Amino acid sequence: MVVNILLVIAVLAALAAVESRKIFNSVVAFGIMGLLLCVTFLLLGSFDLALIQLAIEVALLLSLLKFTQATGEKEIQKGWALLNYLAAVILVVVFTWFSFDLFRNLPGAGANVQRFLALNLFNLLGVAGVVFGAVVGAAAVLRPKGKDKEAGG
Amino acid sequence: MNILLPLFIIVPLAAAFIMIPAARLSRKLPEIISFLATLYLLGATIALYWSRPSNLMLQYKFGVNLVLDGLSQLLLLAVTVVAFFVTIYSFSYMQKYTGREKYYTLYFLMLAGMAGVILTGDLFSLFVFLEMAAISTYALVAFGTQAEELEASIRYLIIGSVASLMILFGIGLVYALTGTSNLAEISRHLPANANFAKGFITALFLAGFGMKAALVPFHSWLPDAHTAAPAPISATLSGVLIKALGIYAIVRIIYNVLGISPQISLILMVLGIVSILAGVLLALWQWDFKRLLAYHSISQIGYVVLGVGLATPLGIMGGLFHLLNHAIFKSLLFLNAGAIEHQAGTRDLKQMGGLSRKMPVTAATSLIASMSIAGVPPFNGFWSKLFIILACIQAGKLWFALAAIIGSILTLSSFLKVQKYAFFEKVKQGFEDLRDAPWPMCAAMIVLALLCLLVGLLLPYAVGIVINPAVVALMNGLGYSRMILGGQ
Amino acid sequence: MMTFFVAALLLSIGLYCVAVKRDLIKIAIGIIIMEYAITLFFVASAPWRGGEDYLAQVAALTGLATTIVIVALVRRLYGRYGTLDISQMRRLKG
Repeated sequence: MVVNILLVIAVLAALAAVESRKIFNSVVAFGIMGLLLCVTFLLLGSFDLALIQLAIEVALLLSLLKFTQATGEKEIQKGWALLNYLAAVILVVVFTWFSFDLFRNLPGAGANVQRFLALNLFNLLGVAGVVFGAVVGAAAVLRPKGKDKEAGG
Repeated sequence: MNILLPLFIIVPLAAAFIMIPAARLSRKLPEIISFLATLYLLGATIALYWSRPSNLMLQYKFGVNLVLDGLSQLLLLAVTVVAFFVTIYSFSYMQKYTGREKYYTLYFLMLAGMAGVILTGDLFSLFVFLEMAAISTYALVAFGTQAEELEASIRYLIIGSVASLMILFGIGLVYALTGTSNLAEISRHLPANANFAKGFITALFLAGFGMKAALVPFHSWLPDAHTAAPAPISATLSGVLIKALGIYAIVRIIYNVLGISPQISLILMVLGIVSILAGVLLALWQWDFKRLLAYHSISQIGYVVLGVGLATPLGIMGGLFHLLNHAIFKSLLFLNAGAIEHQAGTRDLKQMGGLSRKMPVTAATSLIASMSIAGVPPFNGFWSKLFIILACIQAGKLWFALAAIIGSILTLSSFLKVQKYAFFEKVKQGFEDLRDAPWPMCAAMIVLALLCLLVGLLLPYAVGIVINPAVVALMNGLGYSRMILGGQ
Repeated sequence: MMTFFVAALLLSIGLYCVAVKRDLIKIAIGIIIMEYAITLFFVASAPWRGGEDYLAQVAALTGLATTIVIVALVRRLYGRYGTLDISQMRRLKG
């Protein structure tokens, strides 16, 4: 029950994050959504890295806000064609509807546990590679000069 | 022999991890490591073919689950060949960039990711490796950090991460339905009455991997990314990445895991035809050499999907053969475009002219590659397109055959334009003392051009040794599970 | 069951945000919302897999990696263009 209430608030927070005019409020709403989801993960009995993920992501977004001085006032509502909205909404409705339908037909919990998978060594290596790649990639993108003869900036 | 298989992933990963510390020791060390590592990968792939073609190998220790069959071997060959020559080419081309050790680090992470996607027998590992390749590619596209490179990269990243999340959602659904992520076990545990679920999962995978492969409704990121990236990266992206992450994954899952049905086959063929025609028509208007090549990538990938989607032995053979050929000639063309940009400083075809006198190696190799992609006999592209068109006729799909022929003619005309404007006619002003590219770049281009010719001339061997085992692997269909797990 | 519905709903909200918004920070938030939705799905379906849930951790980590790259790219893009509006970044034609 508690989980359900948390989840409903999380959805509202997500909507607020998407639709808020001020970009700062957007980030705050996103943080609230993330926090609620992290509590849900805890209650569902699986504490995982999501809390660390959330902390890092909010910090990154805030640093981005500070760097770009973005306030979101000259927002972004103008000019998008009605068609685009329509296509997006149709996609979203169909997608959600199909997923709902699918979830109803899933077998019950524990219905078909075939084989307990030990922690896969290659997945571990792979995730290490992914995170390493992201860090090196970010460093590569943030190099002050891309080419030797470039004017900089 | 069994130790060879994990090394395809571990060697590039290790190379990536030691690259930055090694650069502290010596400026030359990253290049030496890259050369040795890619040479090893190429050698090991050839050794696999040498020892026993199309053998199947499994590893179950520590939850590591790797599978090698004809199809993975074919993709592995394409990846390692392109990676080796692109690395050699990079030695010269990347000189003007800063932070080269980061470039090689990301490059090897991309290679490890592709090798992992190709070799893994586990759906979830496949996602992890796919993500590894994708994330390093986003950064590599933006490596020059100019405005247009960053712009291309962010577009690619947005579409790429939506695709990744769709794929992950599909994998989660498969896992929830069957309780396993082992590719071979999934087909056994799919509930018999789960047609709706199967359809939804197939749609998710088609959309997700279709975005990675840049099939036509999902292609918008590809021209930007291929144009903006450094030339060696464009060559790798177009030559192998979209195939390993997109085509290979979708084909493996549809054929060997979920099972192919006439409806999915039709969807694949229509996607293929639309990609062929849309890609080539858009390419006709381009004057930017790399952007033109990028649109042709969409079109040529369409041929691969059309052939594989036919689901007949001849069609699959043509499609997979075209996949290998496209890896060779399209990466060569991107390397040509890079050589011109490196020497003449332009990608605009209108500004070039008469380069065949100033850059003979680039001109000759690009002529060979152009004839290959346009399907001129006896080059390799001719044979694979011929197989695909014959397969269409054999299957009674005359309209598809006709569309494939039209696409081929338009491709030819587009590349005649390239040859005319870039290499023939008079030498333009300012290009009087142009020289050909440095020797590592020339060497890479020459060998790839020779491969175009050799694969075309030694057709029976190429098909017999490399392609047929892959066709057998796909035609085996859901028998994949039996082949790996045994029994039943 | 509620958890699954919310996961699908969040996924759709994120997709909508990515498809419709033009502010790069909004788009980044949309992608991150989708990542959380997937993580929620994996956490909720953990009992299906016999309680084994490191898949959710892997999903979280790959999501974090994507975010790191996005933030770096957006920061650099802002430096080049002076705007966060993706529709104004049209250096590439076509």
